[in-house]
Amino acid sequence: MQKDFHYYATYCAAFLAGYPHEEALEICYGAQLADECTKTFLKAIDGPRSAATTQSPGEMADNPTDIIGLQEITRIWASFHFLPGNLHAERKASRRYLHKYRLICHPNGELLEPTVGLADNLPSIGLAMHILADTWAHRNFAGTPALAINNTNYFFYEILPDKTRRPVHFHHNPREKDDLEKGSFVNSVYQISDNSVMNLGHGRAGHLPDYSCMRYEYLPAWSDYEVFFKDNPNDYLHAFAQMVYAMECIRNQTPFEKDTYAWETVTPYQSEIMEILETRKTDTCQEWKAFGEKLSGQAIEDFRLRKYREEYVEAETKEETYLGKYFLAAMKQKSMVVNRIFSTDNLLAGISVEAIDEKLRGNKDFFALLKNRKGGQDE
Amino acid sequence: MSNFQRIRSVLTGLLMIASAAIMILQPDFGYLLVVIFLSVALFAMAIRYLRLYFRMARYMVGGLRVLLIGIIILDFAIFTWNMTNFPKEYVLLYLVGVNLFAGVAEIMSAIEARRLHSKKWRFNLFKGLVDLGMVVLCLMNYQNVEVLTMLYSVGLIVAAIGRIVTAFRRSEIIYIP
Repeated sequence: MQKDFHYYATYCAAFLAGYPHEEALEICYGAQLADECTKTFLKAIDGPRSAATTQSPGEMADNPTDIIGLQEITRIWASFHFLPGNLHAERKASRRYLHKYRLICHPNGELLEPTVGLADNLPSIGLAMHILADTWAHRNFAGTPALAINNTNYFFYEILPDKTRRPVHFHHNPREKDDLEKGSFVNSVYQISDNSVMNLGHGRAGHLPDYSCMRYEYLPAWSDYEVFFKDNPNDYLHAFAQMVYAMECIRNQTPFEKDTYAWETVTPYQSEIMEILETRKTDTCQEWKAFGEKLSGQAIEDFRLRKYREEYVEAETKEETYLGKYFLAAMKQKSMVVNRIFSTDNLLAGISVEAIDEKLRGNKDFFALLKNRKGGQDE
Repeated sequence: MSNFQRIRSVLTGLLMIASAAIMILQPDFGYLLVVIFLSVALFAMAIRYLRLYFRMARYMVGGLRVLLIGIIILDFAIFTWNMTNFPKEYVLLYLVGVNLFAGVAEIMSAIEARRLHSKKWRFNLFKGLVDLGMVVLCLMNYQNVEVLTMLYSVGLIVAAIGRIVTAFRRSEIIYIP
């Protein structure tokens, strides 16, 4: 998913869930920030590096793929973009394979409820909505480098609006843009190294999972030759309805249950939303923005990464700023996901240890998280 | 990088330097070492692919490709090991082929790394230029077996130093509460 859905569509969902314009803006800013909060960004504002929610291409190029590097990659991508669907999935396979297989992202997975449960302020709601929405777009891919899980092959067909099938042409020139009309897309290079970053997430399927209008069928590497039909417009509609439901739950302080959707709220707008989702463009920001402005009657400002930067840099108590709250939410999420993965004897996301007394073994960034726990704000 | 990986990298690097030194000091013996090195390198690569197949790729759509590549490389490794009369053209072809491919790949990687604002691009460019320099030297000295052996040894030392430097690179382990 991209800015069109994470920023503008999240604004619309927040507004429909009952949040006023200003609060909806704060929520959608948090949702989009998950795609911008790199270590480079954190370094520039002297924020906690462990709060990184994504990696820039340059950071990924510099990231070694030994076990420590793999853990760094997995912590970020599995926590925020490819939330594992079933950490206890069984399959007759080697242990090494199983560990990666269990990190495959699926909607309504076992980590969805705890993810939404961690959202307790506007920045953290935005972050949770990003993660929730990505479970729909990025389903079937794992947030860890894995050729045996994330690879795709020549069997990749787009289902065009007139229902005909057209082979998808992939190339590896990142300077060329995706061409929806010609069916030509950039993807990552095939690398026979399971741990190559080229095999991270949906890299081998290019940006097709990120375009709301795409319908395609392909063979996921893990699927035992079973063809999978990916219906992005339908998945994105479910993501939208689930976001509205999740935010209604948070706002009304009612428990969130997975596989539940706010169809009552969304159905009156469903045809308009489907029209946007099926627009054959790689970027539908304009369409979502117009829809959001029609809903609220207010102008939606464009996303500016620097919006809360000065407030954070100049603040004495950074925890009370927007970014301070966001970074804490990111570390909570990372901590929760790593703990859950580690509890299945899987070291791919890192080592999880209980804090001993008040002493922290490991990274000082997590002091803020410990302080927060001590205050009883976190379970 | 784990401690085990560090130790393995350093030991392999030291072994490579020692072998290169023997090749430079004992050129007559050098050829044999080149054969052994080629064979061991191919064998290690084949094992890596076969291991990848049995641990991961056999559960994957199209994973048989990994097995086939592994078997072909293993075949090359055994073939190289069994060569008694090792023709110098083989060494030349190997040196030119490997260095040309590595040089072009490193330079392309440097261009890409620079575009992505990665700090790696200068190091990649340097490695690419060194590889291409080796190609030129090999072609200039294709009839001189001793110089070829010397060039192979220099390449080996450069690769060994790279391994050792990488082994000592600082890495951070994060424990998450």
